[in-house]
Amino acid sequence: MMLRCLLVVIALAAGVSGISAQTAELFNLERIQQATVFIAQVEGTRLNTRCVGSGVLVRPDGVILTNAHHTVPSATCPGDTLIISITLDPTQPPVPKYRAEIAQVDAGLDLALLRITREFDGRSIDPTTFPQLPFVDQAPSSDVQLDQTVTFVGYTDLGNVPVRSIRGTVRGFIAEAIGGERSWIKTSSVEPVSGIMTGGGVYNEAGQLIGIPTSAPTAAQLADANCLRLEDMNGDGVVNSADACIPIGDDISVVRPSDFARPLIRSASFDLTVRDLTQAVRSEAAAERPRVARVFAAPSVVNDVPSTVVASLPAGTTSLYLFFDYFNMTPEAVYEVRVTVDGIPNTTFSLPPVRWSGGRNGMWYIGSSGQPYPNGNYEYRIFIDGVAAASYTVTVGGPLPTAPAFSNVVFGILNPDGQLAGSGYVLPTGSIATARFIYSNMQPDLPWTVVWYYNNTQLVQTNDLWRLELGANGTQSISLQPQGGLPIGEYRVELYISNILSATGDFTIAGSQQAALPVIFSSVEFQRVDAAGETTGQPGTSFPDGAVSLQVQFNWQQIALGTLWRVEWLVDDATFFVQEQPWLLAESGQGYRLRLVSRGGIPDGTYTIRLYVAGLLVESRTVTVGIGQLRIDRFAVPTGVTLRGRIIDYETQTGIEGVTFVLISTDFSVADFRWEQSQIFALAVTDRNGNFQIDRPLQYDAPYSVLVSAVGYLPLSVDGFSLTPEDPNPLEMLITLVRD
Amino acid sequence: MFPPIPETTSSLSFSQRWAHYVTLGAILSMVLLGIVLRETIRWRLTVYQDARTGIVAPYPANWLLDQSGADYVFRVRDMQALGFKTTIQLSIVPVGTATTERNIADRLAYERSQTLIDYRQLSTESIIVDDVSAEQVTYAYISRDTSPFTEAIPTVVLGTDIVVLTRGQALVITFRSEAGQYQDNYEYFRRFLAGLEY
Amino acid sequence: MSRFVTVDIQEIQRSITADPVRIMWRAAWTMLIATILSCGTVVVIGFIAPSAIPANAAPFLSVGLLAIPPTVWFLTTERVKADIEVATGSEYSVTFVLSAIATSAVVLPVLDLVISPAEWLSRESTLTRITGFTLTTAVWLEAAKYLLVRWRAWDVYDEPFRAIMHTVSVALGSAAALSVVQLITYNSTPTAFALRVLANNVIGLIASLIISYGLVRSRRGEAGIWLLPVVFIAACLLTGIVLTFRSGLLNGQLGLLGAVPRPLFAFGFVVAYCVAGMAFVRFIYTNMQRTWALTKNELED
Repeated sequence: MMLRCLLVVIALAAGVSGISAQTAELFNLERIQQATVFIAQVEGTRLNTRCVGSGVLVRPDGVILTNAHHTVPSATCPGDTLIISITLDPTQPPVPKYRAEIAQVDAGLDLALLRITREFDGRSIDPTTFPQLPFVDQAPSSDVQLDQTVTFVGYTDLGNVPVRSIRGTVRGFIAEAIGGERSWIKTSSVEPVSGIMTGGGVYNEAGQLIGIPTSAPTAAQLADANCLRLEDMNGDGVVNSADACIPIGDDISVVRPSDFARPLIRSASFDLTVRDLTQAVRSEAAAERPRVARVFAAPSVVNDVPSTVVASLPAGTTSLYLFFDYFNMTPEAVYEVRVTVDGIPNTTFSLPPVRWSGGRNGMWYIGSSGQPYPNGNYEYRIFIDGVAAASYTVTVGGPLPTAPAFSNVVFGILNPDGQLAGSGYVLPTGSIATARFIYSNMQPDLPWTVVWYYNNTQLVQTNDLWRLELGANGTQSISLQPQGGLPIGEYRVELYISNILSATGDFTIAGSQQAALPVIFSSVEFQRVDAAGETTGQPGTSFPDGAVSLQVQFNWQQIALGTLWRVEWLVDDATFFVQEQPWLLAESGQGYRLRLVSRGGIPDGTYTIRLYVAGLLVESRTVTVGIGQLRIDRFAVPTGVTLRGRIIDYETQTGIEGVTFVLISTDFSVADFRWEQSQIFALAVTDRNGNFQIDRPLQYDAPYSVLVSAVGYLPLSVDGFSLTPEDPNPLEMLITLVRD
Repeated sequence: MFPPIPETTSSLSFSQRWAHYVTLGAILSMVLLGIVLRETIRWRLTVYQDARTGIVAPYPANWLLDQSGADYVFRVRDMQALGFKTTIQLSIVPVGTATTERNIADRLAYERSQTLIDYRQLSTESIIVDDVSAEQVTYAYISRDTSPFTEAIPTVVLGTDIVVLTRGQALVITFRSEAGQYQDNYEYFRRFLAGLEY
Repeated sequence: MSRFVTVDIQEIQRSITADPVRIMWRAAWTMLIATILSCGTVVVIGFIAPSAIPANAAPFLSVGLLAIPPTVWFLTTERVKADIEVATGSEYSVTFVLSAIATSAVVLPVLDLVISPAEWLSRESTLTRITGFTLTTAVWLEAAKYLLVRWRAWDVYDEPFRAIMHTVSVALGSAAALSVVQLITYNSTPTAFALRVLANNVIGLIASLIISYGLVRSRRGEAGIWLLPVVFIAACLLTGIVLTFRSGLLNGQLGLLGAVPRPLFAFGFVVAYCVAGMAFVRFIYTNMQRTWALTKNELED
């Protein structure tokens, strides 16, 4: 028995160590370090540094994922050139090697995709000679678990120290209106993660990218000690307070999940760009200072609206959301939410300074669920650009709620059966809009109030006493039927009990009515565009001969100025473009045109365009190009074995420069090799020391063939060059060539 | 033990003389055969054919054929050479009715100056290739291994572009070699041009 | 030619107690054994403990290896001179020097700068490599040695022991020149250089001795027109084969961790070739001498 137990223990230990060894092998830290770049945004001909941060190569052709706040030109970071420094030796600081340009950006999410386009000296890069750079693999950030161990990789200093890796743990998730429950991943780490790591990478135990550490410096930080003065910016011969400084954000404790970057990466991978050919004919009012108002708390979120409004929550609460209206916000604005519990700062529920990812005006929420909220008084303080904007206090720990309450407000159109039909928050134009809500613990003769708003202006207020026949619990409907009908635009209803806000909900009226649903966009057509930019042929849903560019055209009706609408493009069911913006055109019209372009023609695939209004999908159309399926990119495989080595001369025992190491693909043997590029998996040429490195990772258990050949030396070759997970990674070879 | 030595004579016998002559002949023959073998192996060719463009081009055997580039129809490189890999490349450039060879040559100079390190155009001259007028541009630049992870020493490269207008398009034939071996390697290009059909 | 001693050979033959041909073979074997042992020691040390040879001692060691074959040869043949009591003169020393000059001044420049077999032969098939080495390296090296002895020592090639003396001298001269140029050009490590010294001396010596057989027969009027050229071609072909297989054996095998040459394989091959080659040459020489003895007996009868 004892022996059996011992054997089981030994087997388990062996299994665990085996798993750990395998995990350790999967986590190729050196490859991640080589794929992590240091980004300096510089300005002018003297290339003065204005902003710095980290970035991660996500494609071998030089596409870098990073934050937008330190790369996109702005008031804080006015530079016009991006210098990319690469880690050549993990024990040494990075070395400037390239310049990059912005390929894709989502300023709201504070994500940017850069593409390396020039050498460090400014020369354009010849794509035929550009090497395959190491890049990282992505994992779905939706798989990240609480208390999961993660690793931050990035730069902690302004190019003075090597790339660093810091262990951390997932402490929670922060929800926001833009991204749902996992808009941010909250983390803690064994040591502070410098703000310069912003834009770098956070990896799971398998070495896959799960998020981008983010810390945006506020305008106030431009004047404090975190802003570093390193260079004589104004050319006066001294480095002092008259010189512009490099702003550094606070230590990092939040990570933007990598799933938000997938559309950007996909569009960069396939070089797909969406151009809006329809110009805005009207613009919104000039911006004033950003502000927030109507701050309140809710225990949950339903369809992006609060379920109900609360001032306290019972003990054992595991979800809490802060709602507020925002005005005049821009993507460059930095907002922060500081939470104290009984006066003590609580970093778990706080959001450090990050870029604003919402629109200009609207309702926002931030909070979390699935985490226990200890009892206490929670004070939420909202800061915009470092200035306090609003605050709200909610108590957790009281008894279960027994007070009267309204909740779960939804909107629709009453059908003849008296049922509420519709989407819940986008209604077609008409004469009457109905809201239904749940009531609980109501008492007869309790005063309650309904206030309707249209475009933030009060429309109707109704004061009443709760009727006995309605009972204490149930659902109730209320309707809005103004004279002249319901104009298109944004509506809101607020429900008060004894003059205390108890529930609220927003809805939009747009489009014409078709049953209970709005018809906003119609006549969606796809058409091919030739190389001259002219549409050609008939509109259709299938272009088997391919397309240089693709144009989609549609009509619209009844959309109010400022209504949020979203365009989403997918290829083979994977999103590659998302753009949400306020409607800036006339209310109705025809011929809104969007054009999908790509260098070298639109890749074969099945493309879908989805149109949303106020978050509701109102139109979806699909078109196939070519064979209707994307080609598999065999080069975009980041995992595998890194192969490198040295080739020396047997006579002198010194490295031979210029020897070609050829890795023949698995489909061919050395005897079959006819010196054609199509037969080659990868090749490398030795440098002055005889060192070489294969830039594509080798796959396990794949039988490559190798040929090493140089004039004046006897060639070496082997078939069945196959690697297993037990082999070292990176694999170092020492090859000695013999002179003939 | 030793047999008697024949009387020493200063003159050779018939067989001795002819044995020597035949040996000399054998030496000469073997030397010539060696040269023939060398020339045969050195100048062994593989033929590239492209039915779509109508190009037939003989290139040195065991040079790496690459048809994957967007900027060229095909490119061959001597990957077994140490140092810069001697390159022969064929590109097709669309032209308009008024485009001349010189226009194309200038266009190439603009593009190459953007991507090649220290690009310098050395000479431009009009030549005749297969009874057809062409423009020949000679240039030099610095070639460097693009991988940032190795310490390759840059190399001075001499290049030649020959631009020929044919059938409504411009054929750009490029030859590049390390400057120090340009003359030696030029024979590869000369033979390539001699066998090129388009 | 007038410097050849004109003494009564029969008197000499009666006075000496040992067969000078056998003494020559013995001297050649002494030289070969010394070369094999010295080079082999360095190769083995280099294989087992490469760092055991200090870097600053490497040049001296290489020069020493280079000097051993001719030094041992000339020391042992000095002894033979004493045994024979014949002032055979220093003409074979001159042959040694002239061979070295011819090889370094004519043959190597032609091979390295004009023919350059390493540039185009190294990646060919085995058969092509054998043919290539035969028609380039072997022909030029053996032709230079053949022409030299044909010009310098033709008259004395009727005497086997003198033929062997000159043949070995011309082969060692050529090998020494080859080794010196390779040492200067490649800056090899002692291990690699030891392999070269052994190969240069053994391969060149065997080929030259085979050609010397044809020369002796031709000089004595015992061969027709074809023996000499056929022997020459055969010697070149044999050299071509040996060069090809030697480099093939030395070349490593490529594996996951790289490729390491096999110097012991190459060393063993050359030693085996040395033994077999010398045995073959000794056999044909002995056969030739036996034929002469039979002829002499018949004449006496």
